[in-house]
Amino acid sequence: MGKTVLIVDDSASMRQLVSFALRDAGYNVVDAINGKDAMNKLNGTKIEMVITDLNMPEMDGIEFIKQVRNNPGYKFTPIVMLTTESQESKKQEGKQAGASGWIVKPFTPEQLIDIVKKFVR
Amino acid sequence: MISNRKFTYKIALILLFVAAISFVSDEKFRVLATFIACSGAGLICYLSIKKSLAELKAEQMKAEKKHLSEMETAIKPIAKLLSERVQIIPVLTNQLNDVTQQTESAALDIGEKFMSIVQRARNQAKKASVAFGRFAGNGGSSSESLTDLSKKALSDVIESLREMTAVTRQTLNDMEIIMEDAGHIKKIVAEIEYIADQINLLALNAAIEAARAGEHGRGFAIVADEVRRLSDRSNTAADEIKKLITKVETDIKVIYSKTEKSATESSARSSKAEVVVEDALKKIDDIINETKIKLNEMGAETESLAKDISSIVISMQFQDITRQRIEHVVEPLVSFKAELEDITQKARSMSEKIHEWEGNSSAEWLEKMYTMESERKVLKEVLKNG
Repeated sequence: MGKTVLIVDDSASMRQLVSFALRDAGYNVVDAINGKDAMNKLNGTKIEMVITDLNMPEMDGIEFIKQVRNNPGYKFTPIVMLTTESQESKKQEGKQAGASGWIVKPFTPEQLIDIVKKFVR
Repeated sequence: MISNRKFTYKIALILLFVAAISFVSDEKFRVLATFIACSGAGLICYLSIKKSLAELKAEQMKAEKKHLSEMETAIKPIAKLLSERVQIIPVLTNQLNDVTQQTESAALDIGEKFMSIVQRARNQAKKASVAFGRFAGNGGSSSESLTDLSKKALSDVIESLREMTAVTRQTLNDMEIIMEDAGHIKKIVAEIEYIADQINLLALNAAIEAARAGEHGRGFAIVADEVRRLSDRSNTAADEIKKLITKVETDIKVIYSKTEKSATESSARSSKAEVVVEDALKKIDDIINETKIKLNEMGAETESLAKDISSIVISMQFQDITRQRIEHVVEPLVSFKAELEDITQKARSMSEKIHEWEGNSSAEWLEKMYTMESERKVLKEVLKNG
């Protein structure tokens, strides 16, 4: 049975293609349209890794990361930020909130899978 | 201009009056008249200056009103234009949002179609592999493949042919043994014939000796005669055996000849069939190996295609980047709209105020605006002093 990765992105096409790449590599995928939706889906679900966008309505990526880290069940779950933002300040903000790493869009399937393999063994 | 001329006349009259006074001899009257003339001149100067100031103020007010009117004329179309342009911004933002949605929908659709292609290509490769497995026996199925069954059947046929040839050879060997046995039997029969002849000869000698013995030999003659008859019967039986053996020998030779011919032909056919079958099996193996290679190539091609398509699907993330860039255009546009609306409102308000100013003097306008008595008091004091 494959490991489960949670994808959080308000863009349906991004959710679709990240899910496609991960499923193709043998992972199970759960997706959410923003931080709030992701928090509801996280509740009690066994998730090995989270990949989240930063700019989202209702609850953005930074707030979502903070809330995940406040949940004892997901305190050490790897969280990777998936964003077009390449500025160091945004990365630092995400890291301070509790993110484990980041991947800047656009990325190749290999880059995505490499980073997932790095965190999910 | 007229007031200036009147002022000059008045001053000239006063100067004439002063000149005329200078001719008066009474000192006191002259001083008094000069004082009155100077006071009059001062009053005339004061009134004249006051009048000029009032005229100047009126002209200033007029110019101010004209300027305000020009400003209002200029601001009104700007406010109207701004108001119209502000109405365009939601249209632009909606257009951009619509483009974003359509692009996203198209990207999703393209993504789904590409994923479907990948899935179908993989399914096809898998089906080909399973079908090949059923045919060639490497599909992971526990049941025997078609080629395995064919190989086994062909091997069984060859084995049967080999067994049949072996049985025939064995039969020929058995026949040879029988023929050898028949030869032995013939020798034994010849021995029996020889013994019967000897017994016959002995019986004849016994009969002769019995005849010579006379009455005493009669019994012996009967025995001798009986022995001779038995000897004859032995000879007859041996002869029949000989005939039968010869017949059996002849028959077996015929059968042997036929069987040998059949065995030779069967052996030749078996060898030929073996070659044909081995060739067929080799060809099947070659085809299987070739198909395996082709199938592996096909699988690799399919996987390569799947990877390429995956890359294409992943490159569809340009849509998300485009969406975010459009959002970054829409957000300032929305903010810009609010600012423009604010500016429009301010321009309208300014135009209305100018309109009010046009109808009233600045003092009236201020008086109207002021709500406290202290404010009005300051205004009056300033106006009084100024």
